[in-house]
Amino acid sequence: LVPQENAMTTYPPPAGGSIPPPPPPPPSNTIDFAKAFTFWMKDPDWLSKTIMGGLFSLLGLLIIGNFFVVGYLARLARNVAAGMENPLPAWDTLGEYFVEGLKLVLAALVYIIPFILAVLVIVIPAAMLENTGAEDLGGGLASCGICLIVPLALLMTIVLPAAYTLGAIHRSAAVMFDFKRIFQFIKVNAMNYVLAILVYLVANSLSQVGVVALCIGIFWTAFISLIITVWAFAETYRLSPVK
Amino acid sequence: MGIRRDVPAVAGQVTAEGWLVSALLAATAAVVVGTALLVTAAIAAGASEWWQLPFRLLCHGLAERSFELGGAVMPICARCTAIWSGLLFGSLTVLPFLRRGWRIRLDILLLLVSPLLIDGLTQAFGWRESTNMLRALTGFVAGSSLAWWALPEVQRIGVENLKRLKFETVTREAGGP
Repeated sequence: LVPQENAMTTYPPPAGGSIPPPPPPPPSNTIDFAKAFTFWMKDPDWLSKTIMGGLFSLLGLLIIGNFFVVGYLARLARNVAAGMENPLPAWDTLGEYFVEGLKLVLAALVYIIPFILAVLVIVIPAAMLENTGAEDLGGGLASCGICLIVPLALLMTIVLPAAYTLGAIHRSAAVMFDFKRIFQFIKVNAMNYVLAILVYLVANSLSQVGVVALCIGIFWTAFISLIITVWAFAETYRLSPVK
Repeated sequence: MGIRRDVPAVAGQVTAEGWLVSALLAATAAVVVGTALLVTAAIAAGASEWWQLPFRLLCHGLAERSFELGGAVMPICARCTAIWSGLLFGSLTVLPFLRRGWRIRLDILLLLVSPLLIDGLTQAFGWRESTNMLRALTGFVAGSSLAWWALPEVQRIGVENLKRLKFETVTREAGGP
């Protein structure tokens, strides 16, 4: 009987030295779906940063807290776009967060103007017509309203994240209205953009757990879902061939 | 090269950040608790229960898990009432913390919040049913300690910013970059 270790055959290395290591895989151009949900936990201070984020979200009940959160998310988007390993920013420059958040929120409000107009011009008159007996006319007008509002809502769901991302990364609310650039960004990164929207939908659904568990927990889970969503859209920008 | 001089102490001074966020937290908590009490009183006086509806955005408001006042059920549960009251209490009593630079450590905060999590999650998983007194006690402790941790943290950030600002001013005056 041959001992086991002696039975093993070793082959000499090929001529010319040792085997070269395999080349590293080419960098992926698709956003990492799993990383979107885990990146924030890799930050050494993730717990204190997210507790603080939840607290500012909570202050959003009086509206003002939202500006801090939006400003914070804008910095996060820039960090992700710059390829930082731990992109979660510290809660250090509250004044800057507030001012930038205010600008971005005001710019986003402009996007809502078509909705307000649609409600004022179509939905309210339709309801008034129905109440005054002109039900056919009111119903027709309401149908027109739905035909206008639904596509507008869809368009906003698609356009607004890109507008926010570009506005945050370029530190300019004016970029949020550069529609040529926005549509080009969406078109060039269509695949990643759809993935980012998917990340948003999943993160948003998961964040509802907060309200089921401890009511007030929704502020923290909603904040985390925002972080995840912003990472996905900013990562789309980072991987984009067109900036 | 910048010249770093001794930065004047900021101990005893509450920074703008500290004041602002403390005031905001106190105001938010006061609005939630105050309107909840007001709505309860109005319903007890005969107002419609529809007034409770906006609170559904914040809390489930199950009657068996909520306090009763004057025969009317509060629109937010006992745990939420206590957490918001704790946040209010914490933000109103945090001033000595801010002035003296005290802050509770993150691990202590987690320790103080853990009874709330244990109480809430064991109930959510259906392992046991809590009582309103326990919900209120754990919620109040968690809310207060969250304010006592977060607001001094904001104050620390404010102090850091103030020091940086003073350093930059000193550097500029000394002809530095």
